[in-house]
Amino acid sequence: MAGTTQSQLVEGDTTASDAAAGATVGLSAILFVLAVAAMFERVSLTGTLAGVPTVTLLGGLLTALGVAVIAFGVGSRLGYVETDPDASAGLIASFGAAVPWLVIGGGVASETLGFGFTGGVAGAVVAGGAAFVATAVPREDVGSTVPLGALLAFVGLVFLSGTIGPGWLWNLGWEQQASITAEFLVPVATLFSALYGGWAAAKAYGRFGARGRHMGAYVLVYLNALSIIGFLFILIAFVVVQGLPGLLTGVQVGAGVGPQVFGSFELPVYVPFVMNGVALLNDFQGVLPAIVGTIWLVVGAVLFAVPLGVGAAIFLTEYAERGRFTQAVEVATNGLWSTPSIVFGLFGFAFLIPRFGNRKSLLAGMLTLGFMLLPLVLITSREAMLSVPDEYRDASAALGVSKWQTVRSVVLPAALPGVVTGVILGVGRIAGETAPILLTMAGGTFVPGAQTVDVIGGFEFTGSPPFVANPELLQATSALPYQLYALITAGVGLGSNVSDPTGFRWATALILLIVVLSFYAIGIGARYYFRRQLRHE
Amino acid sequence: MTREEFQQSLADLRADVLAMSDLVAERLDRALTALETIDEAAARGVVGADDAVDRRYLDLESTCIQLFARQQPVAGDLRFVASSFKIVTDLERVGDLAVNLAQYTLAADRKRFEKVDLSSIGDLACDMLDDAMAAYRTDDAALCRDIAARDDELDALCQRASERVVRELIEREVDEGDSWAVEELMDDVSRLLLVVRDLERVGDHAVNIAARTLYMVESDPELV
Amino acid sequence: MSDSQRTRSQTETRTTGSDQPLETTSGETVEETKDEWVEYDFQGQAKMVAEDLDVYYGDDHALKNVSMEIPEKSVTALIGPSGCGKSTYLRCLNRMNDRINAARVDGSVQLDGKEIYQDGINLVELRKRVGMVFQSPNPFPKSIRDNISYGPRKHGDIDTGLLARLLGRDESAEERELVERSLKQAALWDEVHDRLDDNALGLSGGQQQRLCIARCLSVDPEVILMDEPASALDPIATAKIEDLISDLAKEYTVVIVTHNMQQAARISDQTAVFLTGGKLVEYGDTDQIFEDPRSQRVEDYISGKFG
Repeated sequence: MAGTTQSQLVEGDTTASDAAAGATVGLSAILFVLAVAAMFERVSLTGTLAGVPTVTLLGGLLTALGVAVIAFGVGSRLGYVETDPDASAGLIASFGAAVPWLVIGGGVASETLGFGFTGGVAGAVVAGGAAFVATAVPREDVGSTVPLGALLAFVGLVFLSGTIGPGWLWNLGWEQQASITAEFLVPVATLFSALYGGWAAAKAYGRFGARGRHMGAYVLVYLNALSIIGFLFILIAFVVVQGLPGLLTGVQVGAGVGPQVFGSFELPVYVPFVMNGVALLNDFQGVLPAIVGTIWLVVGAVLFAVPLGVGAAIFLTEYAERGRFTQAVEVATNGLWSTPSIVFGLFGFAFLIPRFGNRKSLLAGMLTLGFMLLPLVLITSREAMLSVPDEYRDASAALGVSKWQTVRSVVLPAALPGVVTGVILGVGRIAGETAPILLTMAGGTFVPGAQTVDVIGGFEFTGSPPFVANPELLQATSALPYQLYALITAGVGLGSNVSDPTGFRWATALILLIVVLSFYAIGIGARYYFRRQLRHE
Repeated sequence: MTREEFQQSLADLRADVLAMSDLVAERLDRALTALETIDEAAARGVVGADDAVDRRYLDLESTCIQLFARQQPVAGDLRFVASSFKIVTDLERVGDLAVNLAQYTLAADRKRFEKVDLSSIGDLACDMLDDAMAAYRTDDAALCRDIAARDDELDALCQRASERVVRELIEREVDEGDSWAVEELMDDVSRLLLVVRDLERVGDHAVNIAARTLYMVESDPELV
Repeated sequence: MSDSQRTRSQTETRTTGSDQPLETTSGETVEETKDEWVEYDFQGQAKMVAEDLDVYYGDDHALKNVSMEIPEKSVTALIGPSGCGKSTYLRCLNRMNDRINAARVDGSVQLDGKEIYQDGINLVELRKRVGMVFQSPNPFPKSIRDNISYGPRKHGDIDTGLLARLLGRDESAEERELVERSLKQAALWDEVHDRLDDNALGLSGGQQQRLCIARCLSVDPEVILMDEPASALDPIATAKIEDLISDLAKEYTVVIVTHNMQQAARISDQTAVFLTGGKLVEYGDTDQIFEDPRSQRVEDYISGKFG
């Protein structure tokens, strides 16, 4: 009969318990952030945080979190809080709860209680099994909170009581002198505890049952996504902070200060790091040749790979019949894409360089990187073209338009955003590759400013085929990844004009990052433009 | 089979039309018997029951319209509903004719013109009506054509009867000075002629019904 | 009603042709189709003639020995239950079945007397003269103007663009005229004339379908094939398309596949009924098919007794 199972259609107003559960989730998020900060040494474990020793603070917060989680579980079981729990927390939660207890049980049994390896295994099994049972057997509200809350409380108490303090060490007794330090254990333990705590608290916030599990999963996924963004941000911020001083050494702003561009227009800004090469007479050294080299590399590789890749994709999707041949091409493409970059470098070294005057050259670098870019462009173009619906092709055929015209005017434009995405991804990879450049192109660590390649100006006519030559392309030149590598490894020869070699390195890394991000920006802009063309206004 | 409700509606329509025809045939029969036996009570009964026939007519008409609007019948089903729509009109008219006959009974002095054989005309007309509805019930095309042929016979009978009435009128000796007798005679004659005409009309309606039935069965508008 | 109908076919009281019942292997009686039901006499020219057309999709015999003549400048409707081959037949008329790998076509189809299933046939020219509108509207993801000028541009009928402008061959006035004319013919001009550069995907379903019709008309076809053109549209849009079809039939030959029998009854001049198995069972004036079909199976199908 309809309507026999009554479940709440409309959730009641936010109650005090909901607010408390929400606060608990917030607390676990804070702990998560603190753990990450500790891992990256933003927060020192030996020092204090907000006036309290760090480890103690973490311990206190963990204990509080654990108690709160248990309180929710018990409160729900005893009926103080209105919840909607299932009969059991389920297998996944049980396994999830068993794992950390397994680790703790093993560690405690083998070390603290001194039972050694076998004792450790036994302890692990006992603790893990107990946690499993404790999660699976009782009702969901108790099962998903009590074992995890107990875990949090245990870890918190361990930190609070100083059993594991900042100087703690555990020699694993293996050959490599491996040991687990407090610097490693405390953040990691806090991290996982925070995750578990957040999971349990979110379930409590969602009043258990299906909605609770939904909230739990949501919190976990959200925290993970945040951490990804966080890591990226930390990475970029780190590089920027380290590299900016070097980048900005000797910057002058004012009229008439900078070099001349586009004829007689003088830039009002002079940034020696990006505008100079390395020369004895420079007041500040710069990496202009490397920047230019990287840009030309990318441009050349794209010019080489995109027509080839898109053309091959067109052939594979529109013209070839699905069969052995297309499968072989697919396998080959995937293989090419998975090949390590050093192998590409070797290929360039062994195959291309002899054919281009037997010396390292920009052209060889361009082609090598082009070969690296090719499979990605092919794969993404193919995917993009396959996703263009057949109805467009049918409509075009019904109008009597030939296949090539259809591809050119309907399929390709529609697939363009996908193609551009592939190019963006590929450029991101190859712009930062060091090994191929090392083997095919790099010439000189510290390249004078005058040796910046001038590809556009280098074109000249010759008497014999191919009638157009560009000796600039056949020059060895520098590129940013190589520059960075050379700076780190060689490190000498900068001369007295570089006051801060480390700063110089970081600045180079920063410039590389900026260049790659610029390519991304261009690509994303292009993709946005093409997408606008296809979408309705 | 799909559209079961629709098929059921069609079957119900046929049954209802046949029920209406049964009612009308019974009225006609009773009116003729009353005329035969000068049974004034029966005649009054027929007159009073005409409302029932009219109500059925309106019901069936609206049923047909509804079927057109909601079910959009085509082909055979379309011809069936369209024919039924027209047939109930004919049936209603026959009902009205039965009422006419009953009213003549109430007003006439039959005994004057015994030589005129109304019963055979009446029987023939009733038979034609019965057969037309039988053809409708069983989709019998041959019977339809048969009925059309018999109409000639009915027309001939009616013609002869009318002539007989006029001849009797001429031969009857009436004192021309007796104006009341003359008037009575004229009334009787005209009434009798009307009876004959009405009976012929019953036959015509029966032929119409047969014609519609033939169209329904064979899509042949020949008789219409 | 049904009982007497069955009686009728079994006792052969119908005087206009008798059905010879056949026994199938399952013991049911199946009506045999008569050749005379499929021969349709009409006045005027036949625009397209199919003879002994058989289509196989792999092992599936989708269309069995169909012969049909399509009169010019009128609307021919193809109706039948799902899977009966009517769309397959339609696609044979402009050789769209060629695009399906597993399809094999035997037999002949003639356009104005010229066989189209022969070597050396110019497919581009064929599909220009025989256009097609599909069931789901499929405008290109371009502007409305570009959608319509796409076909003529590719065929070289109009020349616009950078190169043409440089060479002084810019025919943008012609293009504008063509776009306006096509949109007016498709009864869409009034609704979109002020936004021709908007993307076509922003139009409603009915407008998109009319745009596809306009696009089909832009290459100046002689025959327009429509595969259930209104089945994805709401009733008002459907009504507009039906009005449009009636108008188009004055100048073009229209062949329309539809599963909506009332639609076929409303707009077509002649109707061909395909029944399951890819067989053409009856073909004649729409009036006759819907008032008094000769085949019992067709009568049952259009009365809704099956299918």
